[in-house]
Amino acid sequence: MAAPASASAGTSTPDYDFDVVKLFTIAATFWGVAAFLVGVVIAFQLAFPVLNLDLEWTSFGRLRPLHTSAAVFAFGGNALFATSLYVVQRTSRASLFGGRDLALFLFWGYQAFIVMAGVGYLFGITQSKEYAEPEWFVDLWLTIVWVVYLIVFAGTLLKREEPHIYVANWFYLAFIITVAMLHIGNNLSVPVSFLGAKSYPLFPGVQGALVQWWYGHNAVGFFLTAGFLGIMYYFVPKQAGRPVYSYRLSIVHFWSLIFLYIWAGPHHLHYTALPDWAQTLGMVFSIMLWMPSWGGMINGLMTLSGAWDKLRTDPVLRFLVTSVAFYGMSTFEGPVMSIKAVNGLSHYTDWTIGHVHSGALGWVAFVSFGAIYFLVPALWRRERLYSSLLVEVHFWIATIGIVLYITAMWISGIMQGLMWRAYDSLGFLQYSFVETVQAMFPFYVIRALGGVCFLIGALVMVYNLWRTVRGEVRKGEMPVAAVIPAAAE
Amino acid sequence: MDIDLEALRSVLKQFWTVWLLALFCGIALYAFWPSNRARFERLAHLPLDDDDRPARRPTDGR
Amino acid sequence: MWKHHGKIERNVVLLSVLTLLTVAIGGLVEIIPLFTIETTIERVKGVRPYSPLELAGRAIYVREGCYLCHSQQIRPFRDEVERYGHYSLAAESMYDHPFQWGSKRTGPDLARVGGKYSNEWHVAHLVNPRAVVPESIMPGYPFMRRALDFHDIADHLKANRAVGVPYTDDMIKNAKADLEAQVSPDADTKAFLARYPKARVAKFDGEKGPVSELDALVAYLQILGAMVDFSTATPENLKQ
Repeated sequence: MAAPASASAGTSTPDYDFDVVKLFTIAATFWGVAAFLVGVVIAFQLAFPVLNLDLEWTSFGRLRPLHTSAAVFAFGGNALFATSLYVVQRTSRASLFGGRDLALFLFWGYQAFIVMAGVGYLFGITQSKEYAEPEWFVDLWLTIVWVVYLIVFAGTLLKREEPHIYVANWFYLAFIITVAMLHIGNNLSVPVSFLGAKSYPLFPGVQGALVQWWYGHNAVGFFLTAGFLGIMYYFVPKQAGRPVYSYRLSIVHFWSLIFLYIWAGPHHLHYTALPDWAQTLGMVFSIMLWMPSWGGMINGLMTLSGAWDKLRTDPVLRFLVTSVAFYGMSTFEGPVMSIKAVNGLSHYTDWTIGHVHSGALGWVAFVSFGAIYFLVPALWRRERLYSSLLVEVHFWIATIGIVLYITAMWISGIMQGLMWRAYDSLGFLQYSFVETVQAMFPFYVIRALGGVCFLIGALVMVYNLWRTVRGEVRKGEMPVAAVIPAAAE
Repeated sequence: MDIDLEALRSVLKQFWTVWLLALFCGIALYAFWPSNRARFERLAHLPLDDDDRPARRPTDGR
Repeated sequence: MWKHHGKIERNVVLLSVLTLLTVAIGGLVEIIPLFTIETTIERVKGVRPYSPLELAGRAIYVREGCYLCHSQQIRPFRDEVERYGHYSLAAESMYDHPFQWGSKRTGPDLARVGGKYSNEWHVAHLVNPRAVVPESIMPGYPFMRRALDFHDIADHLKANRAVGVPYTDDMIKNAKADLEAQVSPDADTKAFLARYPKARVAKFDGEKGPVSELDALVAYLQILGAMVDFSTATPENLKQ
């Protein structure tokens, strides 16, 4: 396979296709802020319902899918595209398969998916399957984009000049393949007409519920976990300047994680009309999942063994390592919540929302922030970030935000669960439903304030990145001692 | 259609535990086989050794 | 060169195939039996396809994201059965494409809300929830007073039939007329009620004008959980 003609000319400029990585990095940052902003709005709506404005486009029910899709698919998705296309090129020592045009199609095609889905939600175009809300025509478009993604990614692996496929790429590849399988399986539907948006999904009731949560849980397992573990396995060693703690553990981690995750979906349907055997199977696999999850966490954290001091001086590394700690925490909490007795209390309550956000904010967003802080100086060939101090500000304000968020949701969730099942001394239900709604108010306010902190942190990041791209360094800041992204050399 | 799926299911039902066990043992053996150790330790350095330019020709794997 | 290439290619393909195999097996083992094991769906009487108006109301329920705050799945716990009614059966959502079980109860479960409140209450509550429940945090839906667009309602029934809901030719042919019949309590609704037993006939929003979105949504809410006659359901039939 011949190298591009332009490549033979220069020796100083690399001919990796990093332009598209830049675009995806910008998109991830932009959509991240958008997702956090909508999250803050709907959090306040739950505390102050007047903010729904009585308009159809601004009600909670239409904005919530906008928030979740923006967070998962727009922010998380673009972060995965950016990092995977960066990592696969560098660890394969090959430029992207399909070249610039295919990469650009991938970028704009994916942004078109996001905009189509998001605008659709505001107009009430949804198939009401959580995290798979987009209607049939958007699903078809995403399928095309996703196949191109697989072609670009696997094609780059195929033309690689490095004999081995680095383990981060395994995780990315599993993420791409599995999401394709889940997306197609869960979105089979019959449109009402070919000119209309509405469709009716193929599977009804109980079968539909299991297919949906087979999808839904593995959107977490493969989109938000496997893909982001790819980030961990490349960027943590890179930023720490040391190889991953145990490459052998990472191999075991990979296979056991992808095998076990796929079974865990039914734990979303405990005590429902789903047959008991399926619920039990889901619970057992969810508990087993604890092992590979913690194996991976240990692998990530121990990468720093002998270099813990870097955590003091390098706030970017702190983002990455804290994210791995949050990964460990939420993958501990998850199996606990999948135990039927616990789930009987936690299901349908805010506890679930808190659990999701300790994973989404603590793990997914933090590891993405770490990777973005790494990528921006590397891609724009800046010697260092504009300000490490601002990274530190971002880190602390975001951490405070997460703590406020998840503690508020723990309390409100457990309180809700207990109030629903409380009986008075005469044997009557002690609380009417609306009394339990009222009791949530202070926690909904605290949660929203936690979200505001997280949003402010992200805005600090945007400012910092902006100045970095402009090639500025904040006055009076000494370069950090840790390995600053060395791509420029 | 249903009959085919049912046949597939009953086959899978018999084998998935075996497949799980075999897969896990196989992977663990492969990962921890003593002679693979040095190779994996080298591979762990891959992200740290990467160049700023794509390779011109196949490397020897160092 | 080619030999070398072949080996690399095999590795990527092998990795992909093994990955796919590994992730496919769990789904196949869990999902397929639900379609083949007969006991998944209970044998109970009364569950019928939604009437055209109820189906249109259900589409509004989906459009507004009601499932994000309201579940339709009562678990077999003492407190839930006392608060909401008999625990939910798989049979009750067998014509739901997709299911509306939900995953969160910011508001109460709605699996058996049908018949619990009057049409007037529902209309007042949807237009301004705090007018009826001062502590409610539900959004208001005053815009639902507008006319319902149901020109293609027959196509919706057809699409549902394509995914397995047993709508008859008769039902599809009369879809539009049936939809209008359900809001015309003074007209002859015998044929309509024969097709859709237990359907509630009323001008739900209390207004004289055309069929409104409120009419459709309230018709849907009023049939939720009201189809199955639990006086004839025996433990033997409910066994899964």
